[in-house]
Amino acid sequence: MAIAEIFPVTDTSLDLLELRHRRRETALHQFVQSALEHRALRHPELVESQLARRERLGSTALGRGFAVTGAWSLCVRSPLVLVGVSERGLEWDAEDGAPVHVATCVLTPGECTEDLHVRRVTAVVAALKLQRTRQRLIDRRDLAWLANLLREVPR
Amino acid sequence: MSMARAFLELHELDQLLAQASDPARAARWRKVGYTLAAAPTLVRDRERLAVTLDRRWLGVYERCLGRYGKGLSTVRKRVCLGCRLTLPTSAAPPPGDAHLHVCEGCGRLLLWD
Ligand SMILES: [Zn+2]
Repeated sequence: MAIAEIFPVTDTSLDLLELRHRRRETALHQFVQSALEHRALRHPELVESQLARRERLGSTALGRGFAVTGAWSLCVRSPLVLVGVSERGLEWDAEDGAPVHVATCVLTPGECTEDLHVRRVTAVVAALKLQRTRQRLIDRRDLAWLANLLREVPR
Repeated sequence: MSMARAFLELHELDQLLAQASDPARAARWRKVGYTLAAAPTLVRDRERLAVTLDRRWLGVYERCLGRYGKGLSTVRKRVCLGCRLTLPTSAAPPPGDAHLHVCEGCGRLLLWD
């Protein structure tokens, strides 16, 4: 499956993707493929299965068209944040039933502490919690602006 | 599937299950905004995987899991990242070898980079 990169990568710890399909599983696959291109993973099939299993503990959709998934995993070689946008929206089993237009995948190496992973996820959630911020991201697809927005995410 | 890869999957599953079953860890995730529930299907996945594993190695893994919260550790530049012990050159497996090894320092199963 082709990954559409909206902008060339300038910061190797961040990327912005166009999520072209409707299903959550396909988006998770796209995230893993992108992380693989960033050489951030080993055993990508395990990471994909881990992301799918995480959804079975409860959807990672946080409501109002926003989802933040991720993995704290020994399969992650280097920290990476992937942000995907979808104009049409993805089915993500959200509690409010809303399709997801901005989905983020936070990958943290398993050698780091879980506390660091929680802080990274929390920082991403905080940076993108406003709907108008996410709308601006959907409208402009500006990686430099996104990088600035996520500058507080610990590495 | 190599035994090392199978133990890696077991480790990943155990860490995921602990996010929901450990009250302190689950509380942190709920504070971020997630709804976490017990997932009996994940427990079944774990049981299905565990029965395929060598019982002796599984015993080593589970002892360390109980003691340290992790039964597996990665090795970078011959250092066990679980206990920071520098492993002897002779401890490194030959390239391509997927066999399991145990850290002399902490006893965890080792995943060589
Ligand atoms: Zn050790």
